[in-house]
Formats: sequence, C-alpha cells, structure tokens
Amino acid sequence: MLKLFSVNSLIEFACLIFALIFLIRDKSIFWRITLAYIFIVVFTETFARYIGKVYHSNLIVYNIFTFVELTYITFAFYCFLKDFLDIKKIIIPVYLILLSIYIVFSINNNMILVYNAITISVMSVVFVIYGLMYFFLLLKDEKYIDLKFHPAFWWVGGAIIFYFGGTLANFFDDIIQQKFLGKFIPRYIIYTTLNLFLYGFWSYSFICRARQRKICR
Amino acid sequence: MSIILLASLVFLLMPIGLLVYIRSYNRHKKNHFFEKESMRQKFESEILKTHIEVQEQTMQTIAAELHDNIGQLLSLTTLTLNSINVTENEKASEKIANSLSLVNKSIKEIRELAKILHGEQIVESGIGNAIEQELSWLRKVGTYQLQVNNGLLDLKNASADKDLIILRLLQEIINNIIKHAQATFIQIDTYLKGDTLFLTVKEDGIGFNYDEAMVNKTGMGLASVEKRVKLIKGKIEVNSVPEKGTSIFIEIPYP
Repeated sequence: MLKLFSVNSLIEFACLIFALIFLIRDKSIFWRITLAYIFIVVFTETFARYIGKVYHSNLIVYNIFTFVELTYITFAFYCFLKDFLDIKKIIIPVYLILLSIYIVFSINNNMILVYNAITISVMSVVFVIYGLMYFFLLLKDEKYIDLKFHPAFWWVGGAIIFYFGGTLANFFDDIIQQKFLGKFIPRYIIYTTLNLFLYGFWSYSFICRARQRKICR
Repeated sequence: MSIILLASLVFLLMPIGLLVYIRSYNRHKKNHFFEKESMRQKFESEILKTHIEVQEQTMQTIAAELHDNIGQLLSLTTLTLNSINVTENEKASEKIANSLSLVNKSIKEIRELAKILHGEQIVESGIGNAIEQELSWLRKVGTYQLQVNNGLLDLKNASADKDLIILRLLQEIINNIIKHAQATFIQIDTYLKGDTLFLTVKEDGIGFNYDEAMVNKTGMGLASVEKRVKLIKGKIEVNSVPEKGTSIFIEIPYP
C-alpha cells in the first residue's frame, strides 16, 4: 500500500492539504474548481500508480487526465487574463483547437499504449504564451499590485515554470523515459522537480488567496 | 542525457529569472505609483486650499461692501428718519422721500451683493462667467481704467478643478495689483486657442525687479501664482519694468 505513494504524489497531496485549509471556505468559482482539480490530481496520481502496478500501463489514466488539465488550466488563464482584455475571443478558439488535437490523437492512437505527448507539448507552449501574456499585461497595467501576496501571480508563476521547464522533457519524451541516470529515470527527476515548483507556488497562491479573502471581507 | 537534464535546468531557471525580474520591476512600479498618488493628493489639497481662498475672498468683498456701502446707506437712512419732525409736514415728506431713495439704493446694493455670492458658484457655469463676475466688481470700484477682452464666455469644454485655480490666479494677480502696483490702467485678455487657455494681465503700475523679488521671497503672492500655474502644468512669464508696469502671461493646457 505504501508504494502507492511516490514523491510526486506526496507533493501533490501536500498541495491538496494547503488547498483544503485555505480554499475550503472560498466562494469564488475559480478557487472552488482549483480545490476540485487538486483533488483530481491526487486521485489520478494514486489511481495511475495502482493501475500501473496491476495492468503494467497507466497511460490511459494520464491520457484522460490531460483533458481535465487542458480544461482547468485554460479556464484559469481565462479568469486571470479577462481582467486585462477581452480574452474570450482568443482563448475559446485555441481551446477548441487543442481539444481537436487531443481528440484526433486519441482516436488515431491507442489511448492505453500511447502517451498523448503531442497534445501535452502543444498545450505547454500555449500555456507558456498565456503566462507570458499575463506577465506582460501585469507589467503594462498602470495599477500597482503587491505581487508578494497576489494569488494570480504565484499561480501563473508556478504554471509557467512547470510548462516552460517541461518543454524539453515533452519534446524528448521518448528518450528520457527509456534511459537511466544512475538509479532514476531522467523524466522522473525532471517532473518531480517541476511538480515541486508547480505545487509549491500553487500552495503559496492558496495562502495569498486566503489572505486576500480575509482582507476583502 | 545529461545535456537534456542540463537544458531542462536552464529552461527551469529562465521562468524563475523572469519572475524575479517582474518582482523587481514591480518594486519600481510601486515607487512610481506612490509618487503619483502623493502628487494627486497634493493636487487635491491645493484645490481645497484654492476653494477656501476663493471663499475667503468672497467673504472679504461682502464684508467690505456691507461695511462701506450698505452699512453707510442704512445709517444715513436711520439718521434721516430720526431727524423727521412730524409737525413739519413739508420737510418730513421730503425726508421720507430721501429715506425711501436710500432704502431703494440699499436694496439695489444687496442685490449686487447676492450676485457676488452667486459668483463663487458661477465657476460651475463656466470660467468665462466667473471671470466676468470678478471683473465687474473691479469695474464697480471705479479706481482703475479697465480694458477687458474675455474670450471665454462661450466655452464648450470645462474643467472644474482648473477653472477654480484659474479664477484664483486672476484674483491673486488682481489682489497684488491693488495692494502693490499703484496702477491706473489694467488690461486683461483671456482666450482659448486650440487646447491652450491664455490669460494675460498688463498694468501700468510701479513695477518691480522680478528676480530680486523671487530671491528675497518678497513676492509671496507671485510665488503662489507660479506654484498654482505649475500645478496645472501651465507656463507663466512675468515681465516687469520699474516705473513702467508689469505684464503677466499665463498659458494653461485646457480643458
């Protein structure tokens, strides 16, 4: 049973604890969805490990999760970018294109045996662009925001580190999951590091959000 | 393999570097924001001060008018009425007629006074009208030969804050002329050209050494005028020649 928990799942579980403590009373739709998403992440990671042990391949779990990830991250960027510009016109068509890539890949390939790396790669690039767009608009905006306690900034920060940092790993997915670096697979090292940043930043953004809620009350 | 790992590390460090840069840029933005905020507060407090000064000026004018004019008229009315002897019908009716005339004059003066009170609010109906009101008062005093070209009467655009400051500028300049210039002739021109409002005041008074006045801080009224012009991003030029008079040219972006 203990082996069901990897370092990644422990990081995600810690993030879930933060989300439960700081977001449970949040009434904003986005932060409620975030809590649900982190819960799905932890569940997926644990379930994928279980499936992997029983059926020797858990790719289908991650492939299905990709759809949830694509939808959630797109929605999050929509929520953060809509404060600066009418992003609906861009984000909806881009989401539909990414969804089409996901569906076409899933239909043309066996979801159980082939990892949907193309969708992940394309969506990573798109999310990095959204992240950069957010930072650009944030800098351009005349209003001053204390970024130290701004939840959106830390959320986007975590996302941009994860998706930008993972670009190479996505493109060389085939190589890095077959080779070994000592005891570990490089893919595992890269994604554990990225997850640590992603969920670390997100956990801090939950704290900022709780603080923001308290101040606004 | 280690190249991919190293490259991934670089790819990881790049967004972290970006975040650090954004935070440091934001710190500069913070300083700029607070600077702007303090300037805005300064502007608002200056507007409030100007408003109070315009009110004070109005009150002073009313007080002077009540004391020097209406008060005298009513005192004279009282004296006339007191001196009536009812047994002398002819003289009494003459005195009553005089008293009536004095009362009517007082009523007329009170009406004029009401206009001054209204004049303070008239800024809201346009700077042209407010200036007109201010100058009509100066005209009434009769001490100066006035030449006025007020081209701001039919202005379509207005800027409430700037209007108040412009009115106060004119009041301060006129106050300075009354107090120090010993002038006999005053020429006032106001007009709008493009997005710039021009206000020119010329007089034939004793003049002064502008640089000396600014160094010795004796020209306090003028310093306040300059400060206010700068506050609304305007330009001011003062030309003064001793014994020949002073000309003040003001340009203000408007509205």
